[in-house]
Amino acid sequence: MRLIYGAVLLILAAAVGWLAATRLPAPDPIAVVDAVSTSAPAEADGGPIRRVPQPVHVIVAPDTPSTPDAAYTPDAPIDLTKARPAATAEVGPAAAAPGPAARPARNAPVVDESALRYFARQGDQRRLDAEIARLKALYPDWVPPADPTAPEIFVDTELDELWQLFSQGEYPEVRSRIADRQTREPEWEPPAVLIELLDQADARIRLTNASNAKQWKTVIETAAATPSLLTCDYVDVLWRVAEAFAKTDRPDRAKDAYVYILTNCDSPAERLATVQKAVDVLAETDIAELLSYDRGGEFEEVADTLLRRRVGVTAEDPELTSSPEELARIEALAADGNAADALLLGWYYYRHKEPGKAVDWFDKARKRDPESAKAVEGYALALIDLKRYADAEATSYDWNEKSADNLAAYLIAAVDLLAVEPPLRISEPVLQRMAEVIVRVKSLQGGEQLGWYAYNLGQVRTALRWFEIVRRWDPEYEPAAYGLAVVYWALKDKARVNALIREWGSRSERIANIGKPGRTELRGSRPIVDVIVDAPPVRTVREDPAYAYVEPEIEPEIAPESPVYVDAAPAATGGGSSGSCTGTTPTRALSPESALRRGWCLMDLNRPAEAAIAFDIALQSTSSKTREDAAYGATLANLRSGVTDRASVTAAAAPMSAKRQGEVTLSILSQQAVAAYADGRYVETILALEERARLAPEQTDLMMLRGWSYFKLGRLADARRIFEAVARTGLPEGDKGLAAVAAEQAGFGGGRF
Amino acid sequence: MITLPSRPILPALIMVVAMVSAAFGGFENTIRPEDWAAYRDRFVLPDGRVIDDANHGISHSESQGYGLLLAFSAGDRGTFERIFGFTRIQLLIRDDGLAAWKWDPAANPHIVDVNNASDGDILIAYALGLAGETWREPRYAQAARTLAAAVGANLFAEANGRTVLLPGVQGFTPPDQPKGTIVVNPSYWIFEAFPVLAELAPEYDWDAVASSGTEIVAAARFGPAALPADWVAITPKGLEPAEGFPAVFGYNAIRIPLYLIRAGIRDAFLTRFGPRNAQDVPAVVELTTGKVASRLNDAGYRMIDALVACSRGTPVPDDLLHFTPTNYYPSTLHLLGLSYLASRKGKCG
Repeated sequence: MRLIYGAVLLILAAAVGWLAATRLPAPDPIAVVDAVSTSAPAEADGGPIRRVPQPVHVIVAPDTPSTPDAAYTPDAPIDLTKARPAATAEVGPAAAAPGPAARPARNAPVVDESALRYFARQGDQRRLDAEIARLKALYPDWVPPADPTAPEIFVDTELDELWQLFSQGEYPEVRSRIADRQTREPEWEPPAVLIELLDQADARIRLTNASNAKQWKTVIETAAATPSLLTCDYVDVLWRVAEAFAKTDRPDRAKDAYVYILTNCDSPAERLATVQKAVDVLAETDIAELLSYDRGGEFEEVADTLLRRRVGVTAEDPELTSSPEELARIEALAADGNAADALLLGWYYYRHKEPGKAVDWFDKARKRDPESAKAVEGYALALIDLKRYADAEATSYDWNEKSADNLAAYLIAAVDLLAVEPPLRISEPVLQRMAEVIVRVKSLQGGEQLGWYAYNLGQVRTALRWFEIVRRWDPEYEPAAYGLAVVYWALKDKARVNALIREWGSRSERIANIGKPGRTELRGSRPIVDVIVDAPPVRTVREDPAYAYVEPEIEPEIAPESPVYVDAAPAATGGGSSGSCTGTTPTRALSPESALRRGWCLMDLNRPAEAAIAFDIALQSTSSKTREDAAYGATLANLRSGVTDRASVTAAAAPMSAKRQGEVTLSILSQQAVAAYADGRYVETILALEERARLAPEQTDLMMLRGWSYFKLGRLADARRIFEAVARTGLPEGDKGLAAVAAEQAGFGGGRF
Repeated sequence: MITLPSRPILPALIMVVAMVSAAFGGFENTIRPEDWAAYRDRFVLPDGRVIDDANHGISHSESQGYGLLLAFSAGDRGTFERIFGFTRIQLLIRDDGLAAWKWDPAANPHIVDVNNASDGDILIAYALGLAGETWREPRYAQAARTLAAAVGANLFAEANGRTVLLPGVQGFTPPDQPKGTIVVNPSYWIFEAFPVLAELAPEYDWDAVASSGTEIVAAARFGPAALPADWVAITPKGLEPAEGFPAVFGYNAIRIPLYLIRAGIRDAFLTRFGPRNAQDVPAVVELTTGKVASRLNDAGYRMIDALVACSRGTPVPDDLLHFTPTNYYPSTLHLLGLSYLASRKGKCG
């Protein structure tokens, strides 16, 4: 098919005369477009005549039937072999152009020499000759002026002005004056050549605007209707037509346009730009064909562009490799400090498992182009490959909202950082921001990994919360269910473990096997010490925004009926009588045994903060009995002053008797439940109450706490069951709760009461 | 919520269309040369661009269309040619043959939104049709036919059993709107243009579009003021102010009575518009409350009320018979009003 077009091209070489006559005074392509809005005069073409261009009719000729083309089906295909016969005598716009342009040739009684004079004034000998030939063909008796370049007195000064304005690029003005004159002189016709040239100028601007607006069909139709634009004088038009073909899935047509330029046009800059543009739209084999038009080293730059493209492909696909020579060439190109080549090498080495090199190149790329999100993404991924997770997290955090890829890189870094075994100590701000991102994007793996991180640091309840969050994000996400099962197993909550096994057992072997020796893959590598809170992460995670997300954002309007404080009169009061605790000796100067006594004394006076100091001193006793007493006292003191965390720390500071241990644990759990409820952490409230319930029967105030927690969580049936139990004891709080449940179920409670 | 009558009010509309046809071609040479010169010098640049000076000097298919219609009405072929040239090479570049609607001199490329606006398309096609016919210029006639056919092919839509005019190719039907909802702009129905467009592109049912337009204008009575909204949603339940647009009788809808009058449509619903008393001026009205958001004192807006009052027997005040350009939009409306009066020899009946 291409060969046929080539042959037609040759036939059309004879149409040169016509082209010469219709060529615009070669304004700069952009200048023409702007001429409309800025009225800037277009430059006249005073330079030497360039190689004679041929019309690139093949570019816009319709496809053969073998390549059906829905987007381009003009009613009247352009057939230049008919429209523009090669015979010299008939060449010319008057013979070729339809409509008004054809009129003057036959009707005008006087030969219109205005175009001839215009070309003469422009010093355009080629077009002057063509116009003389055209007029001779139309008017065999006509004799051209002896010296058309000499100044002449024009018969039609108005027409002369039109040519003047035209040469200045004032096309709208010319059009307007033609219309005005036709109003005044209905018989008057403008020169056909002028109309042809105006149409061509308009078509060029319109085509450019259509191309800028990505209206490819208009681009191609305009080009098809104005083949005089498709010459080396308007390489920009040819590029735009090629682009229009490429954008409408006709790469062969695009290639034809590029080949036309490389075959016919001589401007070195335009030729190079042509191949560079082709690189963006054509396949490599087509580009190789274009490169064969090289007239001697002119496309070397393009070879580098192509090399970059090839390496770009191998950089995306680990299965493909580039040769050391190719990589060396890119490295040489990158030596000038450009970011793009550094980035390309970064990706190549990253995908080909050389993260060390990749890190270096990505680092260069991000320093050379501080705006490059891709460079940061690559840098983070390469750091991850080097297991430098903390660096990866730190580098990519600021970029996580730039793109989906940057977010993915950040999440990988965060998850990997959390998954390091044994767990790394991660600073609070870092944990905080990781949790923020994970919650914001509801990253299942991220939430899961936070759960395991907490679990492995012994923060079982925090782990529980994360797994619950993740399960809420996606109830079908097995790892969340598995995490929950492991946590419940650790909490000895057989009922919930069994519930999970019932739900998941058929789908998840590891959930089915929870608790079976040798089968359960506990991801924790550290022993579980449930109550001891010694790692900063627990605070971080407790205060993380997950709370805001998970828990209902309703402030509790009532506190539990009575604060749950442990009674300050333990059976094992270690001695000391009331009143004796205000001795003159400062507490810090007391012996451990005396301090113990003062501690209990201060507890009797309900001064727990001071008591705690006394018990701390008592803890230094050499007597194990005193230390046990002191630990118990300190725990109670801290509990009473509301410092739960310290209470749990103190509880571990010295061994206590099983009985005391039980009391302390009950107190701690009660207080944790109350604190959790006050914070709006209802799941945790219930968990604390569940644990406590395994050790001792639940008091009614705690039952109310449980009931309201169920209520807040929307577990209305559970809430009603609890409130009914309380109501049966005769307490009015139970009825209040039942009323709230009824209102909620009726749909107008709004969660408040 | 307003429910369309279950059956279009066809008999009345057949009469309407007949009257419109009688008005065909009546606006030639109806703008005084000095009025037109004042408008042209202010709003038409040498390259044929008609500027909307109240909107940062941008241009749009509407301003080009108005410019063409006024140039035709003033009998100024030279300026018509300029405006057409700009419109053709700058806006009429869409693959579907419609005009890109928004052109900003400060932007590059200048077309900042390639979507169309069907009132602009209709104005351009209508003016080209008039000029092609009156001045025997085949280039105008051909461009008019192409554009009219593009409007028919791309902007007619079925809604509740009617053929309505979409405001643009993109954005006014599902999925851009809720399922079953089509958003229209009643002021895009330029009734006087339809008979001309029907001659240009007879393969499309322009009578049906004209009919749905009068029906929507009659039925869209929102809020205490019982006025149409600039943007109206047609839903399976009926008409309502379109979501996502201010629920106002605003700068769009204000020209509806002008279009009705120029098209010779004087059905009873024309009485809904115009001044309620001698001191009343046109206003942007908040439809939910019926309250006036801003009064429009420019002569161009007052001219519309004056024409409505005139159709009820009150002569147009003398001060409105003189034209002084202010801003592009009211000045355009003013000249369209004066052109109408001149076409009726100063009578409104």
